[in-house]
Amino acid sequence: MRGNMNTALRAACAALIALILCMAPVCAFADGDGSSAGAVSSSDSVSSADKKDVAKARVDAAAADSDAASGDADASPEPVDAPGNSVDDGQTSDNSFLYDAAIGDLAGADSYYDKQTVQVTGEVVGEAISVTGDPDHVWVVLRDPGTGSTVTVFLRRSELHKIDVFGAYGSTGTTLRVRGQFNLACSQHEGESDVHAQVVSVVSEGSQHADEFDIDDFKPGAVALAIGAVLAFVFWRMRERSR
Amino acid sequence: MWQKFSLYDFRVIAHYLGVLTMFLAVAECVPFTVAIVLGEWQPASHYLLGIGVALIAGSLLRLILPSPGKLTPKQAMAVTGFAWLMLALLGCIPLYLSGHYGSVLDAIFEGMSAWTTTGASLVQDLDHMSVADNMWRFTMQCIGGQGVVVIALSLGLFGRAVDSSLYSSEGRSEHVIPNIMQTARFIVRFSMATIVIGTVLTTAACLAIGMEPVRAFFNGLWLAVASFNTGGMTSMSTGIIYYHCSALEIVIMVLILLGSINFTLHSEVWKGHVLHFFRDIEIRTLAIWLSVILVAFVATLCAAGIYDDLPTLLRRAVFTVVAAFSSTGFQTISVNQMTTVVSSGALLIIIFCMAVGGSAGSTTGGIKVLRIGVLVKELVAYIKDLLAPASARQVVMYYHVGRRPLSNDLVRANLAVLLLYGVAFLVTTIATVACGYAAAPSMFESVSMVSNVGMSCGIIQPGMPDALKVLYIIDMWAGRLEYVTLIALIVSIVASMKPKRRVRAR
Repeated sequence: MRGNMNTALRAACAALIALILCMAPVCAFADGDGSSAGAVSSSDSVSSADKKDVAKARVDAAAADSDAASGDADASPEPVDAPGNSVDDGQTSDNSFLYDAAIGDLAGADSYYDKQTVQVTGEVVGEAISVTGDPDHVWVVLRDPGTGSTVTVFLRRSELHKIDVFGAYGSTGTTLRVRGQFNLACSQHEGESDVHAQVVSVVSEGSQHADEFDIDDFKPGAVALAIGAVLAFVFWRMRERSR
Repeated sequence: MWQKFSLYDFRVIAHYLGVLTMFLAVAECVPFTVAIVLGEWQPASHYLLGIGVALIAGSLLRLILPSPGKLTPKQAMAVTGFAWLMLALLGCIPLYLSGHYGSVLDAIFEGMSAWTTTGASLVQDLDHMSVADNMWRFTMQCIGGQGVVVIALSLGLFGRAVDSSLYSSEGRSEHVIPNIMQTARFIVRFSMATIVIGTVLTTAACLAIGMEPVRAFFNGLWLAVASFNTGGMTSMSTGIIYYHCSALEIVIMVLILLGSINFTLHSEVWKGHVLHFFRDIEIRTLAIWLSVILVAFVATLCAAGIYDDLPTLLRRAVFTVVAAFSSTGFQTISVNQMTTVVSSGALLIIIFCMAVGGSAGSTTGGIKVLRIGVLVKELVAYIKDLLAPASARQVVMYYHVGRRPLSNDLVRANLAVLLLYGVAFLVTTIATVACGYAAAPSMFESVSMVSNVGMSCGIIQPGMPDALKVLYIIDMWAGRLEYVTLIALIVSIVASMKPKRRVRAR
């Protein structure tokens, strides 16, 4: 009887060891960070299509959030598994997408922002400058009204129709929201810092506010000019008398 | 014993400062006219006030002594020294009223930067600045680049009461033509002709990149003025990078090089003496110096790995070196890139380039290559003397519009200027570091201010400490006058304030 028990025990141990050995290869394919979120995939193993799905889902979720904030505040958020949501709960936090970066941050950017996807909002100033050798694109400058910082945007010419006014003296330019890749020293454009626009949307339209002629504005100057002219005449008379 | 000013001297100085202030009133008619034509009524009212204030100040100053005699060298030095300060103070009035400057000090900084053709700017929201206000900034650069006194001499504003002392006190030691007024007129005519041709070319380039005609004309004009006068201001906040045009950069570089060369040499070439140009010590020193700097700068940019191909690397490097040595200050490597992607070694090379500067008798700042060339020749002669027998005597000659002997007085003068610049660099760097900035950017900014370059790696902006703004204003003012004039002036004034020692009768 004791022999049967030993045999059974040995068999059970052997089975357990075999099970462990079989589980080991399966674990090697699932890199984990030890978190309770479960197994996650490395960036190497996730296909680019999956990445785009996740990124799009995040964008759509964010857009939905903003719509909810600006529109119906009483609507409850959609469940995670609602139709149309593509969520990969094995995806690690991805810092390749920076949402709503300030233009001032880019103006003082270091290598951290290089090649990152950013979204900036600013007023279009100046004019659309043609790109040498590339008739399909133009350069525009976005200015942050708060800090005064500017960033150069490489834009498709077809997007120009969204800009109704360029900012200058007497005009406030269209405010655009541009999402694209920021390049600290763009290899395509001779080392210049720029944002290659991927998505362009209008936040607010521009406006014209030309100077109005007001005679009261000229009164101090006219008075000063008159006094100056009188003094100049006095000087001339004194010089003529002394000759 | 220090030369003192008497009360009569101050009255004469006041009269001639009044002449220059009246000239300022006439100069402000340019932006006033532009404002009226373009319907910019607010700026027009500001310039009308500016003209009136200048007229009042000028007339009051002239009334102090309605009929002065001939200017003495001491008086001429004071007129030149104070002229730049007075023009900066009065010229900033319409700038401050424009609302684009955070304080009066910022507007004075801008005024001094424009008059001295430094090009550093504390302007806010430049992209929305009126055409008239921009026109005034570049008018100041145009007049300042030629020299306020030179312009006034060419227009005969000082009458017959002047001699070469007034011309020399503005940092110009050479007469293009023996007659001072004709020299001044040559400089002005040559400059205007170059600016007109440059404007045509730059306007064409601006039209080609898609600017509408009026903006293309004004941008072209301002670029031509800023380039030839080595001022370096632009009308858009992104600077010269705004235009993204290599053809424009080439035109700008040609204009800069023309403005960086001694006007005397221009005159010689104009007369057909081309050999004088290539034999000149300034041109040879400049060629050697720029070659060394360019090779070193290209090597450091290569090491940084910013640019992927050689043509781009050379384009950026050449433009930066040309803008730095000429004290123009245009930047195709952005302010942010100067401190993030460009190495500190590259910054140091540009610092040396800015410090040496361009030709004497041109629109550039810095120590000047003529002084460097002369001092190198003196160094070589000194070493030869050490190695030669005691009885040997050598005469050192150098070629600068003719063969000239290298005298001890010339060496002494050049060494004095070199020392003054060195002290100014040191003091300004220490002051900038004391305000909490890093060492390399502080050195960069200090040299940029003292040599009237205007390049920045981020320190010069509206939020910088007021004490630093005041120091930089003094640096720009003193650098334009090459320090000697200003120091001599300050010392003379201080000595004049000291009461005479009473001698007791025995």
